[in-house]
This record gives sequence, C-alpha cells and structure tokens, in this order.
Amino acid sequence: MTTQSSLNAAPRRFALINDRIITAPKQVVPVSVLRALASIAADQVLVRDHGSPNDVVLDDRATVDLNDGNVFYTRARCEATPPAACGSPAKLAFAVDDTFELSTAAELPFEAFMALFGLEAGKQLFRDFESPNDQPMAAGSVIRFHDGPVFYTRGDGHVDKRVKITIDGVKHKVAPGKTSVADIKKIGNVPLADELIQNIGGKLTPLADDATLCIAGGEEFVSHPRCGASS
Amino acid sequence: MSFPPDQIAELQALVPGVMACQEGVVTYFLLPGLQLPAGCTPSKVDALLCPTPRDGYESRLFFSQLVTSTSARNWHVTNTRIVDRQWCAFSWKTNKTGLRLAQMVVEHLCALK
Repeated sequence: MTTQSSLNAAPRRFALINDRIITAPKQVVPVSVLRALASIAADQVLVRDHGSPNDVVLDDRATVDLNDGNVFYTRARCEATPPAACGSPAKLAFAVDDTFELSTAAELPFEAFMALFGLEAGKQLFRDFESPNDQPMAAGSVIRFHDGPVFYTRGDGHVDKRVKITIDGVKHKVAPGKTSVADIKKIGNVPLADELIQNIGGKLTPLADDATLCIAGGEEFVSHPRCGASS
Repeated sequence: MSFPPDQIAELQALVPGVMACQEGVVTYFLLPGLQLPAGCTPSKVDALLCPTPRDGYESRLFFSQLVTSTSARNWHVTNTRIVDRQWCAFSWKTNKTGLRLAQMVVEHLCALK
C-alpha cells in the first residue's frame, strides 16, 4: 500500500554515477544527457552496474530507462568490452534527504526501508514528486522503486547518528565507530585490490588491508590501484 | 583542458593551496608544500602535476628539488623548466588511464615509500 496522492505529478528520479547523485529530468533519458550532467570525459563510457562481469556498457547515442536500474559507473573507453548478455538484475539506488543506499530489491517494506537509511520511527517519509502536495508514506506500506526512488523526511523524530566521510572525493554517511578498511572500500566502491590511503591533514597514510579504523566523522580517503612501476 | 570540479576539490583536500597553471595547451596543477611519505628528505616540497600524457608517461609529477626516499628512484629529469620554474622528476609510469587527479598524485607518491 502506498499513500501518495500527488495526482499526475511525476516522481523525481536520479542516476547514481560513480556514487554521485545526478538528478534526472525524466525516467527515460538519453545517455548523452547523463554524460553531460555528470561531466563524463569523452574517453570514458557509462556502464550500468549489475554487479556482474557483463555489466551493460551504454552506447553514447542510446537512451536509458532509469526504472531498469539507476546505478552507473564510468570506465575507460579502451577497457570497455563489447556488450554481452547480462542476466543479473541491475542495482537500484534509493535516496532520502540526498543520501543514497543501494538495494537489489525493487520493493521494500516501509520499516526495512527506514532501517536501511537509519531513520527512526516517528520520522515522516515523503516520496518526492514534482508537486507541492507530497503525502507521507504510511507505516506498513511497501516502498516500490518503480514508483519513484527519491524521498525526503520531515519531523523531529529522526536522529541520524551517521557521520560523513569522504572516499575518492565522494561524501558518504556511515555509522561512527570501528570500521574495517575492507568495509570502507565497500562503502566507496573501491576495488579490494586497490590501496586505501587516509589523508590526515595533508599527510598521506597508507592503510593496511586488514586494518580497522575508528571513524569519528570527517575522515578523508583516497584509493589508488597500485599499478605504478619504474620505467 | 578542464577538469571536473569534484576532482579539483578532492585535490585541494589533499593539498590546500593547489593552483591550476596553463602552459600552452597543457594544464598543470601546482601543489605547494606537498607532504611526502615518511622517510623522504625533505618532508615537503612544491610539486607540479601534469595530469595528461607527457614524455611517454600517462601523467607526471614534478618536484621543485630532488628527494631522497627509502626506495631509490631514477631521477632522470633534473632541470626542466615548466611554468617559469625548474623541476625534477623520477621515471614512474602509472600504467592506468582514467585515474582521478588525487589518485595520480597518490600513485606517484607511493613510489617514494
């Protein structure tokens, strides 16, 4: 059950490109528009993330339906493999108050959705329509990706205890406290083989892959692929 | 050539005071007082990032003076003039395209660990 009564207003939609939220003008958008909005360099291709070796490389001249999956990343054009059949479902991203979370499920119970974003009961959740008449989602309802993935909250019941960290220039909200380097890599979509470096006041501190950090908020990380060599 | 603002912001977080410089058609980034990895002498130098291919390298990091480090490097450029300053550089290929500006700097600095 959803309790939205925004008449004919369209839900707001977005594409998540390299972990950045890019607001999309409509559900079906030309790839060229997404490229422009995300400032993708000409030598990069846009790839829809299915979490599969056969992730879908998008032709620059194609259009993309964000209902089919709204999570993308870029890859060097010269490294992109020709399109192959991809049987895995595309990753889906929901956003609440400009913070995103990924899901492989297109439908989530209201309570699970609130937990996913660390929202406490009592906070009112609204699906964001291009309308001034958004109505709160009701407890017990089902959050459907296809009905619109963008939400905002109102009310005082929510205390988001998460803190912000930066990984490769992208801000992420995470729970404070002990966090493994492996988990930080997962949050930042950093390949596990890459080295993670913490920027502590301009001093670059390499982090061991098996290390654990105490996240307090404000930490900055940069990854690099350890591919350099003397020539 | 212009670079995405988020990449420049990330570089600024790494090196406050970073400045873009243009020489001909090439954009460089001046990194004042770049902190070098532990074991390097000096510990800080001005550096100049060339983020586009040059001299057969995918990117280059130039230093305002020679740096001694735990790993000996081939400082094959010791006196080249770019944007009105003399620079040194060691031979280091990042072997990967599509790196972000901050990743390029880190990749070069890790050679001095």
